[in-house]
Amino acid sequence: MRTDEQGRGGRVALLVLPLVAVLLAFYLLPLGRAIVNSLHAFGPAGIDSTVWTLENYRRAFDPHYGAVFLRTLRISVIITVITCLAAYPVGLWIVRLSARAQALVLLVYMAPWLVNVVVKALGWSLILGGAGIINRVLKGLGVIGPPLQLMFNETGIVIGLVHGHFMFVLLPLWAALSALDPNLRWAAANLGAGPRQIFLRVTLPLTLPALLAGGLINFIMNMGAFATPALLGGSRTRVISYVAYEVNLVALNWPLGGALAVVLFLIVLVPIWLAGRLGRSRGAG
Amino acid sequence: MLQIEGVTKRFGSVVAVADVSATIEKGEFFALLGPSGCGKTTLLRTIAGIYRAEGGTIALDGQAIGERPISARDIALVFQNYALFPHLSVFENVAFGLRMRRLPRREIATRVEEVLDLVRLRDLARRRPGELSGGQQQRVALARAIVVRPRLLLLDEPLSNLDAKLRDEMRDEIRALQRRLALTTVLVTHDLREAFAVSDRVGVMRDGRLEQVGTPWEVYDAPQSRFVAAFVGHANILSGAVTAVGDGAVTIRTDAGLTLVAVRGGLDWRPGARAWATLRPERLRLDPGADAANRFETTVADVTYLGNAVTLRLEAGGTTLRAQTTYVGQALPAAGARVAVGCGSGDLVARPDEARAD
Repeated sequence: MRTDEQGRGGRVALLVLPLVAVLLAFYLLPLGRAIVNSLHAFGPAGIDSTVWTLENYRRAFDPHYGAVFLRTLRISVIITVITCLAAYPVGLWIVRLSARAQALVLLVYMAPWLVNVVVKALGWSLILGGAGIINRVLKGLGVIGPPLQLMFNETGIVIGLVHGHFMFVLLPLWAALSALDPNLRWAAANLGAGPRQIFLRVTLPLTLPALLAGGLINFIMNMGAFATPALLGGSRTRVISYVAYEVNLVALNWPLGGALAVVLFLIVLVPIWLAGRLGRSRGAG
Repeated sequence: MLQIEGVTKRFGSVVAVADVSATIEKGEFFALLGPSGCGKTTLLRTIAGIYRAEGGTIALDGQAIGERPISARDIALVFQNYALFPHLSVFENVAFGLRMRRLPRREIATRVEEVLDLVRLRDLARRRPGELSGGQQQRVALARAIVVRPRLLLLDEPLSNLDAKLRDEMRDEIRALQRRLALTTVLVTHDLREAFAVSDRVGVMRDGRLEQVGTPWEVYDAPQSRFVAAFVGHANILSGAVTAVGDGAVTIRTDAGLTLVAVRGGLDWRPGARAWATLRPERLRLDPGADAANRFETTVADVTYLGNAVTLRLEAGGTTLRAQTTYVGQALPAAGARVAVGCGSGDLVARPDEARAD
């Protein structure tokens, strides 16, 4: 038995090896490199690898970059909250459809992920722009005077990313909702619960873990989003991934860029760590 | 009192419940018995309000409830899989219905504890359903239903997920509880023993219809159709034609050539008419007296020893008869032996053929 298990372990290790190699070569090594860079000084001649300093991290938290981090955080949280709130009615609607219709509708909701980000952004500019559909219609109806500023600001980023990252909340939520025993809803109704009570006391608590998992992924995707904020946020509303890109590839300041990347990485780790703790305490309790 | 009048429920083109009418008295324990797919669960769910009846009326204590939503019928349903709320403690599961009724917190606590005492689960009040055994979950489900003091209790195969020994215990417990609380109760089951053990009356369902309603004795000893006779326990069902109609008895000659003498039972008999008879295996005696109304010479095909009972498969001129006798150490015939078996005219239940084809 022992040798058998060892043999199986060996085979599994062999199968995992390519993935480990890819992660190591394209993810962990560059990340390690960025961490090392972030601790070096930067001068007119480039990276000075003889000097070790925390100066880059001090700068990452200065008012300029600090404000960018806060904006990124704020936008990401807003997007996640809106997405979570919107995903519930959509999920509840989908699970009531036939199996075939469910597959079709889910495909529609996944479609944004299959379309190039730049194409999506272009589409949004046709809808949200000053002469876009929304503004033309509202103006035509006499609801507004000057056109609404729906893009090149945080609103544009929020709209673009709620659309772009919706399925990361919807899919786990849909899975949890479909796995819910319909008898539970009937049992609640049988005991006198109306639709609202059934949702609040049965459906919501039982699907909350899935929502949190989806929300977490969604939040992380929002924090790291690059192209959509770059195209729909415009030059005045920059998020940290875009700023880090500029620092790295335009200013070629790899030490500061590395520090920005590391800080972003750590910020994203916090909710992951919290979710892990929450999961463990729920499991224990 | 529950009155069902002409209730019909379709799923697409499938008629699950067809024109069912029944009256269940206050405090009565009524069992809906039938094979799977006969519509008994659908009928139960229609009464509960999970499904809406397409025709007919449902009235509880004289009030029509067919149009009310499930949450406003004052009927408690115990689900086959219990449907306990996995995220709530035993206490909160039981308290759910009371919270929905917005009772004061103190009263909720008192009533929940009362009911948990009743089902002997007080010590487990803080546990989650997932930490309980099947029998304990069943008792939580029962407690959750009765704590709201419903006007009608519906039980959907409540014992089918328990092992045999526990099932008998729970069955007696449910019956005792139902008596103590005088709850009008409808039980859905495919298990004859379960239905007979707990219920005052049984309704046998088939293809969405109520085939026969009566006390367990009536259903077992006087089945009105071949289906009921065959479904409710083992039965020798013999078909033939009426040859003579006497004062108290009717004589039937079966297609295989056996002559049966059965009591008339107040039915309309005509010589020559087709008829059938039910003979329960336990009514067939191995040592019939010389004056037994029915006597068959048979060959033993097979003897099955069951500990406290013995069943025999007997061949009587092309007819296979099943006999059962309690075993108390008597000598048993061996396979191949010739034995005479028989029964009185009252042991046979004969009926003219049903209009409905089987």
